[in-house]
Parts: sequence; C-alpha cells; structure tokens
Amino acid sequence: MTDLKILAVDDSPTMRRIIINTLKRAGYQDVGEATDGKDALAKLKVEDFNFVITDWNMPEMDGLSFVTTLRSMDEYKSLPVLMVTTRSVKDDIVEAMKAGVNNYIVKPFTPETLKDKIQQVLSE
Amino acid sequence: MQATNNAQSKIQHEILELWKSVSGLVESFRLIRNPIQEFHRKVPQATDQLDKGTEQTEAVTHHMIDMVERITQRDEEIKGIIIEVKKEAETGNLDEVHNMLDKISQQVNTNLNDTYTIMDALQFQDITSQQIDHAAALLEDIESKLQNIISVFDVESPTASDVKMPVEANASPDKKQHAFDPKADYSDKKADQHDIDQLFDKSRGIHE
Repeated sequence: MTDLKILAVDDSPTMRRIIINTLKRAGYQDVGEATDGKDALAKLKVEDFNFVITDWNMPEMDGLSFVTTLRSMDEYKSLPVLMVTTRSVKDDIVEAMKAGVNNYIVKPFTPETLKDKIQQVLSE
Repeated sequence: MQATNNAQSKIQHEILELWKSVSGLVESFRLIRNPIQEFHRKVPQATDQLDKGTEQTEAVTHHMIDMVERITQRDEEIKGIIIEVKKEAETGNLDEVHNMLDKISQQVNTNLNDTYTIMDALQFQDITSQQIDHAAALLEDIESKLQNIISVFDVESPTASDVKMPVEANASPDKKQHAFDPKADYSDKKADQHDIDQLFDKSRGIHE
C-alpha cells in the first residue's frame, strides 16, 4: 500500500499542498505533483506513477480531457484515477464516470474520505 | 417656382439625412440593448459571488482563529505542566511525573489534530479563489461589452460586423489563465458525497 506512487494534479498550489500533506499523513510518502492535465501527461511519461488524483477545472487541459486522453492510451487504460473537484452536479459526475474516473470526491473533502476512496479504488 | 423646388429638394435631402441619422441611432441602440440586459444579470451575479467569497472566507477564518486560540491555550497549559514536572522530578515523585507526562502527551496530540484540521480547512482558499475568478470573468465580460458599445458610437453607421471583440485582442499576454467552477461553494459536502457514492455504487452494480 505504501509503495504506491501517486500523482496529484491540481492548478491550485494550495490544494496540491493539502492533498500531498493528507496523503503523507495517511502513509503515502511517494507523491508527485502536476499543475494541469498537460503537465500530468508529461510527468507520467518520465515517471512511473501508479495512482492519479486529479482536479477537474484546470487551465491548458482540464481533468475530464486528461482522463479521456489517459483512457485512450493503452498504457494508462487501467491506471487508477480519483477525481477531486468542487463539481457536484449529477450530470458532471456521470460525465466523469463515462470518461473513466474510478472514483470521485467533492471538495472540500475530509482526510478520511480521501483515504477511504484510495483504498476503495485499490481494492476494486 | 425654381426657388420652391430648390427649397423642397433641400428639405427632402435634410429629411433623408435625418432618417439616416435616426436609423443609425436605432441600430446603435439595438446593438447595445442586449449587452445592457446582460449587465443587469451579470453585475449582481458578480457581486453575489464576491459576497459569497467574503462570507465564506470570514467564516473559515473565524473557525481557524478559534482553533489557533485553543492550540495556544493548550501550549500555555503544557508550559505550566512542564514546570510542575520539573518540581515533581526533583522530589522524586515518579508516579506524578508519569501522570503529568501522559497529560502533556494528550495535549500535544490534540494540538496536532487541530493543526491538521486547520490544514484541511485551508481548502477554502481554492474554493473562494474559484468564486473570485468567476466574478472576475463576469466583470471582464462586462468590460469587453462596454468597449463594444463605445466602438459602436465611434463609427457613423455601425453594423454588427463593425463591433470589435476586444477581449482576446486586449488580453494581456501575462494574464494568468483561470479555470473555475462557477458553482464552487465551501459548505459541508457530506450529502453531495453520499449521492456521488451511490451513483458509483449503482454503476458498479450494473457492470458486475
């Protein structure tokens, strides 16, 4: 579980710090970060991440396009992706599910929710 | 007779010019009508977003101040206990020293948890910045439409194709790109998260 290498993708530096801090408290020490989907794709090419946590609203490439792109690439078809966003409208969630996210957390989230969802995705 | 005809022709010419001028004016007002209707909608929307951001920032800040006050109060108590520990250690009362150290340990753990709670509450910064970005986008849109109106009155016979779109053209190259959720809101999301979890559970049930 702790050998998981997680990529946290969010355009907000504050959110990235909070997510990384929460992950480290939960025992996930190996965490990388990216500012948007485009940056995340570049990071995934050079490092072997085995879990992605991504925001939706980001400049350059948003979370939905990022996940859609990931799922169109053979090497990332089964990469676990957890979306963490402020969007809580049902249509958005359905859209994210269709794009291929494994689970979905609405902001503001609690550390317990983040830990639970990671566990849930990993156990599927 | 010639003079009458000249006068008549002059009047006709004047009427024609007046008609052109009035038509141009009507066209101008037609072009600005929609933006003005939008201003009526967007200005209060922007103000509401800014008010929401301010209220939520204030609420979270108060919550954090409460936590910091409790943490500092516990720190003061810990300082007092440490002085007592020293005294008890000098008299050799080890049982009391152990009790006091346990108390310190509890206080430190509570402070640690409160510090984490403050860290988690800082998510408000992302949410309020999205609210502010939304308000800024609404105001920038109003600004661009006001520029359009100005450009309408700068030309003699404006048509829709004369209307410039100054937003992109005038955008500063250094301007930070923003992506925001217009509905971003810092409130308890337990109910929303529950509904989302149900959606995912339902989807898994269908696929299994």
